[in-house]
Amino acid sequence: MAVLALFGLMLVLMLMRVAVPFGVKPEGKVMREVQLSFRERLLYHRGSIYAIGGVLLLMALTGVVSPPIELIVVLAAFMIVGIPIRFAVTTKGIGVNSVAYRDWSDFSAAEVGKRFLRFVPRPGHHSLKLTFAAEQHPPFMRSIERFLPLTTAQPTDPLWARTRRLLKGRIVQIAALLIVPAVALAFLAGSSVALAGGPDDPPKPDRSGLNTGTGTDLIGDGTPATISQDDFDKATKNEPFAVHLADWVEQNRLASNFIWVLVTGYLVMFMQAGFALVETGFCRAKNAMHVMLMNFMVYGLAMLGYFVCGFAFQFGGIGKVGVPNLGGLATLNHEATISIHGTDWGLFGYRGFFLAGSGYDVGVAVMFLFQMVFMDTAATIPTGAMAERWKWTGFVVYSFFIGTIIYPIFGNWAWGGGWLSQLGNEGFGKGYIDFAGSGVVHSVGGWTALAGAMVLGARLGKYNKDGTVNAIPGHNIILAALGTLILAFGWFGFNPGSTLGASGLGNLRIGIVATTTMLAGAMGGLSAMSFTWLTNKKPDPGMCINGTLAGLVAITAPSGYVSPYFGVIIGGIAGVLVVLAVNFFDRVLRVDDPVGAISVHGVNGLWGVISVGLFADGTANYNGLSVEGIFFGDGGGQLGAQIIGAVACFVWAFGVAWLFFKACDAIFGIRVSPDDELAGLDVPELGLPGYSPDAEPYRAPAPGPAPHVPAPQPAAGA
Amino acid sequence: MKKVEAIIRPEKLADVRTALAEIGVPGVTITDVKGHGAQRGIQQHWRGTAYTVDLLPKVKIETVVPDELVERVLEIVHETARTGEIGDGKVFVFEIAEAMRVRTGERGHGAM
Repeated sequence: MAVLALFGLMLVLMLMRVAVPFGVKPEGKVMREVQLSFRERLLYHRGSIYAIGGVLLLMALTGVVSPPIELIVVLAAFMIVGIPIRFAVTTKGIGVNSVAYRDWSDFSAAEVGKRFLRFVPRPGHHSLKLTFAAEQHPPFMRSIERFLPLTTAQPTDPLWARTRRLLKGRIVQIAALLIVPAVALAFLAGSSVALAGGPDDPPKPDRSGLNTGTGTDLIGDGTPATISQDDFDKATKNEPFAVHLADWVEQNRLASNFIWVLVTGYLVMFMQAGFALVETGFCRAKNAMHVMLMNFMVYGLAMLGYFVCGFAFQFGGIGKVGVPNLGGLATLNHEATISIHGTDWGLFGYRGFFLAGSGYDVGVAVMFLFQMVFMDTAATIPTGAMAERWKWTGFVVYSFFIGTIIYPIFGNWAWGGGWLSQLGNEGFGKGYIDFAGSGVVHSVGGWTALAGAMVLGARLGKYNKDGTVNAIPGHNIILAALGTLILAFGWFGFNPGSTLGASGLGNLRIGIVATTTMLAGAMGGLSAMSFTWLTNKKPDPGMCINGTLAGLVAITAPSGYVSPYFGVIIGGIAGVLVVLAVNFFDRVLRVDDPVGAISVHGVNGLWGVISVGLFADGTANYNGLSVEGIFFGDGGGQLGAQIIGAVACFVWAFGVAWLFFKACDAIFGIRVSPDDELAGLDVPELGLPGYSPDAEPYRAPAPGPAPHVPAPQPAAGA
Repeated sequence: MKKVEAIIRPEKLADVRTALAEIGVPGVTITDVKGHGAQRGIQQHWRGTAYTVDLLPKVKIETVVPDELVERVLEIVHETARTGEIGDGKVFVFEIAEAMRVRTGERGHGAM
């Protein structure tokens, strides 16, 4: 598995180097361009090519991965090397492929090496290294010399000398570093990674919808609304009409589930509008267009990523667990697993790419729509925490990344039959339980937002040199309040819809789920209002809004398993927690989060996940799944699973997102220039202000001599 | 002719306008303005962080009146716009050199 991940990483890195999409166009006039030859392009990508070669060698030796994959990777690498690379010198700076553009003022000098040109940064800027043979492009080098002094790079020490210098006096650290992999290896001894998925004879996808839901689905263990095998066999022999009737009953049951899941999915989609309004209202008017358009475009951008491979990674193996509410989804039956101590722990699925083949199925489509809007909810959270300073390029690349990697992989662990959901095998209750996604959706979004906000840094003017914090009030709290009500409405899809059905198998609990959700959200707002009223002498409108959202986020994981009474308690605690968390991130960690997304979604998502292990009362029974918390007879195993899940969520989402944002920042920069930030991002980034007076038709006078102005006449009445 | 420029509390605008209309002030121009004088600004809270707003919203009334009406206008503003607290505003009186009604071209007093 690591092998494939490494391949993917290398290919993504290669692509990012040459084709960062929608970048900043070079300013100024292009003076000279140099197009790299094929050999120079190989040189440019050599790090990734070496790595891919090494992995190929490793695979040949161990025989891990089946043949087509290597071929595809090599072809992909070749295609990327085929993409032309142009360095362009303009009057104002230097650009790579006309997208990744840097100002001359960022650099103090240029060093010419044997096969590279390195731009030495001024303090506070990033270095830029171009790989090509400088001596082959004299006109290009001469045009650079007009702006920066060229120096010859000092020959570096040989590799072994540098290595020795690095290792000197660090024996202890190195030993400590080696212990971790050694322990991991010992733990993994006897385990094996398997990609081989489902049976050789895969079930056929149902594209017409005629074959999904037959009477045989009703055969069960004798719980209400199931038929025993004996009774069914008897009926087949004696009462064929009853069997036909059973087919109709089952298809109608599935129909009610399909309708329920689709309609709740539409409600969740509407939450995009809520997020857009909350985030735009909490930001300043000069950035309104930028924040709104991020919320607007993340819908499609992340959706495309989820369609291409995100859904397959998340639910490609769900058929092994089965989704009886939607007809089983048995066609999605490929899950990559790692076998440790006798259990095949799921890592990610790999069926249903592009919703083609086994993904082209009536039940899978319902599942995709519902899960896709969930993913977009997570994707739209960081746009708030990173608002008012995030470069559009960085946002676009991020949108694909969260839709393809960050969200789906953790989603698979929790919901797609992955290792977190299997923790029950090791005695941790029923495994990690996250009913509607406090962890999977909200914490993942919140921790990604934390990583992004940390990498970006605070907005200009947020923190003073003497350590004090400035408030940067949003421009339209009315929009934010309206957005919150829309979100609360959408949450009636988010939580009750997560039963993935309305009929049979314990799904009638949807009413309790909806009621619990309603109570928790309202109580979150109420407790935040009371708490700020006590501490600030006035109820804080912004906190009332955040408190309501916090209550809703916190109840998301437990909503399916707790009573309305505990919904009130969970929501009430969330309302106080969000106020404390906002102050903690603002003052203590000094992470600038314009809309409070990290506190609302990250912290309260975590609280929601933990609360399942406390307050789940064991009365719910979804197809036999019933969960108990520590206050309702569980010995702590369930709480343990929830804690493991919460930690895994933080490590995965924060860790991967931090590395991703750091890499993006190093490669093309994800923060706008200070000038653009002060002016507001609307016009510099997008060319259109969010709010502007109506433009009057005005024709500028043609260039030429100034028109004759007659001398003013003396006033008649004076 | 004199121009009276009164900067007052926004919530007093209706009272002042009514009183001015009663004594026959022909027209007024109203502008929303921000500013500060002796008043030091007020504290507000944004999601837990206090901040000071020192430019407060005020309303500026401009009206051009015959010389003999100026004293009366000042009295009315004093009577209607005053609360006695800091932040009641200021009044300035200017000399007007000329006036014209755009529709007819009338000048001077006739333009009022």
